[in-house]
Amino acid sequence: MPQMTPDQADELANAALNLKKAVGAFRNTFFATLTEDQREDLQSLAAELGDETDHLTAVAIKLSLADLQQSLTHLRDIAKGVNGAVAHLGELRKVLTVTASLISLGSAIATGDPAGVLSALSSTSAAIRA
Amino acid sequence: MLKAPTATGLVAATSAALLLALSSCATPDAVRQFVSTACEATSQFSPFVQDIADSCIRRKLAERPVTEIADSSGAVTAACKEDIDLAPELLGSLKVLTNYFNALHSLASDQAVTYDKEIDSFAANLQAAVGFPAPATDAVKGLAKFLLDSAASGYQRAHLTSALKAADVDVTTLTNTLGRIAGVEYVRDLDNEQDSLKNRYIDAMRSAGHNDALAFLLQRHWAADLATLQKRRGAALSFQAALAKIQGGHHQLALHAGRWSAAELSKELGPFTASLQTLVKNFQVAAF
Repeated sequence: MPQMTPDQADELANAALNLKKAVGAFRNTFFATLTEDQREDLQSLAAELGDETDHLTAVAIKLSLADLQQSLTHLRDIAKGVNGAVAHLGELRKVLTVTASLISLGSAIATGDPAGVLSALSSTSAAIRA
Repeated sequence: MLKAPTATGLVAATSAALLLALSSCATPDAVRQFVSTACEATSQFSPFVQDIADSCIRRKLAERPVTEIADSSGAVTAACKEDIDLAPELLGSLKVLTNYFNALHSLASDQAVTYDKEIDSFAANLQAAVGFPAPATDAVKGLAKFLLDSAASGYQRAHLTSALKAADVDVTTLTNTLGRIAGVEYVRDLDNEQDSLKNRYIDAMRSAGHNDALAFLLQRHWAADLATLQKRRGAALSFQAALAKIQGGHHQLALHAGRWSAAELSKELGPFTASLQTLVKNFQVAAF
């Protein structure tokens, strides 16, 4: 994909910001449950999502249109799932599963590898839905 | 054989001549007022442009550990490089737009066009970037070329009509891009900053434990920070709205160029001019 349209870039930036907010709320809600490392990792993920221009956009411009649409769908699903977890989750095992998958997503975004990010988005989305 | 003019005919001819004279005086007034207000509006937004990069820096600082005492400026500046690099391009583009409206004002006032010569090298070196796409850079180059040509060729008021028509696409493209950067991207940056800041306050509040005095102070600081962000958001939206008014007014001018009816122009440009003046006042109350 040579160049994202302004609307696509907007959609991506909004999705990333919404997920960032969800990750921050998740970290705040389950702060006492999380280890120090997990708190820091979630904070790093939130920061990466906040830097979407530097990270996600750079990744997204290397994706095909179909993969970009799929990534946007996953981003929205993950944000929805994380927000749902913040509102309803009480089970420690599930909190840790969501945490682990989000941290994996953060690592994938940090590498900047489009295939890795797409795969991490897919598995994070699946893990949160499970 | 020529017929001697009747008294009625003389009155009618005189009235028509007077109306024509009034019309030709009133028309440039309406145009001058609009372009002068547009020029003033575009010249007042440089603090906002600078705050795009500053918002990124504040956000990155807010994402540092609450307990950290360190000079993080290097890391933070590196993280915000894209926004920092964008600032000169936006400031230069605003300057081109301001000079363009100033040139229109000169033409409408029967004066020679002058402009800031730095614009020539700025436009020549301007390149498209992620934050400032190719159509916008082309528009800046187009307006800069108009300035160069109008000064070099000694354009007169007669050129006003062709100038308005020729530049309308560039003005539309540039105001759209600048408006989007302000009203969509910068507003999202502020939202992003607010989220990071909120989490920082939550972390600080959590570490304060049950210290009510400290909690009270944190709440006050958070409220003040939030109010500042709201003002900046309002300023950005005013800027976007001002650019839309400039674009709309310019388009009306371009459409009616050559068909100078003072009454129509006043009616069509008046609301744009009045709205612009209000929006500039709204912008000026923002805390930068």
